[in-house]
Amino acid sequence: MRRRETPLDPAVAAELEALEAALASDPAAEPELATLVRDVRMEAPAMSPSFRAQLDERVESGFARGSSPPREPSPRRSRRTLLGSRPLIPALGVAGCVLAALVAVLIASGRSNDNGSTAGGGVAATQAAPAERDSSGGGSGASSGSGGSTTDQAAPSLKAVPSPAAPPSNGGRHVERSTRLELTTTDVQRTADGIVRATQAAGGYVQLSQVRTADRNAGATFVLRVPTAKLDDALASLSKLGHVRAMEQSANDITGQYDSAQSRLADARAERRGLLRALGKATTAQEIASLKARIADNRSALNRLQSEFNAVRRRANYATIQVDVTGRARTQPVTPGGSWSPGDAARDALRVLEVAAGVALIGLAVLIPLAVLGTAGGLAAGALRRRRREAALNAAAEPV
Amino acid sequence: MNLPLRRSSSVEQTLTMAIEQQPAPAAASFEALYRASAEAVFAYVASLLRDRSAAEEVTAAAFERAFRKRRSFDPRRGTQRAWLFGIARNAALDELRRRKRAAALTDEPLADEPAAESEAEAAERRATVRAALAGLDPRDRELIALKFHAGLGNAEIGAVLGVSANNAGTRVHRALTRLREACHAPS
Repeated sequence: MRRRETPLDPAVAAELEALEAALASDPAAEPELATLVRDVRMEAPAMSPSFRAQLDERVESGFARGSSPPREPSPRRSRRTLLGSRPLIPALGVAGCVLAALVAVLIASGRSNDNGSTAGGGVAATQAAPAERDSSGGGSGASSGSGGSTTDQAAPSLKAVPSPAAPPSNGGRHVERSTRLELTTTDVQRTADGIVRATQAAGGYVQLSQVRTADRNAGATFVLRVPTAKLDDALASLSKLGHVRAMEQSANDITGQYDSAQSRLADARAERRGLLRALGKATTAQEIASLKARIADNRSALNRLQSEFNAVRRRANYATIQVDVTGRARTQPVTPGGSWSPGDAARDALRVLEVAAGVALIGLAVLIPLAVLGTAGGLAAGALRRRRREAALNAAAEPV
Repeated sequence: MNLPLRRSSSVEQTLTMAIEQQPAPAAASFEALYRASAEAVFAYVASLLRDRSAAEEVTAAAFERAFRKRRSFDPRRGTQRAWLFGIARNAALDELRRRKRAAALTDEPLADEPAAESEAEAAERRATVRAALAGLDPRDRELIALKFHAGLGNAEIGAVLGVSANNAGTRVHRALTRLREACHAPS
C-alpha cells in the first residue's frame, strides 16, 4: 500500500528550485548558492587516474574473471563464500519446498496405498479364507473374487477354476460349503427372478428371500440351498445375473460330525432291534412293561438322532449360497462379465483426477505455508539488512 | 518506454518500429552509464566512506555488481542512475558494516590538495566548505553528494534512499540548510 505523499512546504520548494537553478549553472541563480555549489563540487573526491584506467579496462572487458585486482580476504567475505552467495538462499528455499512437496506426495501416496490395502483387506480375507479352509477341508485350487474392478474378472474365472471347497471325490470326507455373493444390478426384480430360476434349475431351493424394489436402496438378499454337486454350476449362473462385486467361499470339513451322528443313529437302531427282540422273548408283565418303556425312550432318541443326522447330511449335501443384490442407477451401466467398458474407463479417469487433485491439494497445503514463511523470512531478512545498513551509516556519524 | 502503437503499413516501417522499441544493447548501455556516472559514483561512495582506497574498491564492486545485474534493471522503478546509485549505496553501507572504521577515517583527506589559487579568499572559502562537509552528519553528507556531485533529481534520490520524492526533497533541503549553517558558523 503506497503511503499518501505530503506536499512540499512552499518555502522548501522555493529553496529547492533555487538550488536546482544553481546546480544547473543558471545565471539567474542565487549568487551565494551558486558559489556554494561550485565550492562543494570542487570538493568532490576524484578518482585517481590509475584507478580510473584500471576500472575502464575492467568495464571494457565486461568484468571478466581475472581482471579484478586481488582483494584482501576478510573473515566476513570468506564466511559468505562458505555459506554461499545470496542468490543461493532462494534456491535453497525452493529446494526445501520441493523436498517438502515430495515428502507430502510420498506420504499421500503411502496413505492411498494404505487405504487401498485396507479396502482390499476384505478381498484378501475373502481370498485367504478358502486357502485356510483348503488346509482343513482338503480342497484345492484358488478362488477368485474381490471388490472393486478386480471382481469384474471373478465371474469369467468361475468356470475355469475349480472351486476350492469342492467335495472330496473319495475318502468319505464330508464338507459343508457356503458361498457369499455380492451382485450389483440395475434391475433388482429381474435379477431376483433370475436367482430363483437358477436355484431351481440347480435342484436347490430358496431358504430365505428379501427383495426391496424401492427406487432408493433397492436390493435383495437370498439364502439359497443347492446340491453341493451343482454348486459351481449354480454360481456360474448366478454370476451372470449382475456385476459381481465380491464373492466369498468357505468349506468346512464336517466328516467327524457326520460320522458321529451316523454311528449314534446306528447304535440307537441296534438298541431298538435288541429291545424288540427282548420284548418278543419277555414272559412276565413287569418285564414287558419295562421293555416297552425303554423302547419308547429309544424311539424318541432315535427320532432325535435321525434329525441330527439328517441335518448334518443336509449340510454336507446342500451348499448354502447367500446372495446380496444391490441396486445401481442406470446411468452407470456396467457390462456383466467384467469387461473393461468406457464407463469403467471414465470412472478410472475420474478417480485419477481425484487422486491428482488430492495430491495437488496436499502439496499446496505444504507449499503455501512454506511460501508464506519464506516470503515473510525474505521480507524480514531484507528489512534487517536495510536496518543494518542504515545502522552502519549512523555508526559512521558517531565520534570515535 | 511507452511508444505509440501504430498499425504498420509496410515491412520497412515494421522493422523501423521494431528497432525503435528495442532497448539499447545492454553492454553498450551499461558502458554509457559507466562513462556518465563513474566519477559521480566514486565521489558519492567516497563521501560515505571517507576512505579513498575503500571507495575505489567499493566503486569497482558496485559497477561490477551493476554489470552483472544489468538485465534486472526495471525502468518502471526509476532511472538507470538511481538504480546504479542504489547499488553503490548498498555496497558502501555493506563496506561500512564490514570495516567499522569509517569514523576512524573521518579525518583522512579525500580531495586532492587544493590547487594553488591566487585568490586567498577562494582558498579560505573552500577550506570552510571542506570542513563543513566533514562535519556534516553522514546522512546529510550523503544527500549533498547525491545532489551536488551526482546531480540526481529528488525523485532519483528518493529511489536511492527508498523514500518518496518529496521526502527526499525535504531531506535535501535540510542537509543544504545544515551545510550553509556549518559554512557560516564561526570556526
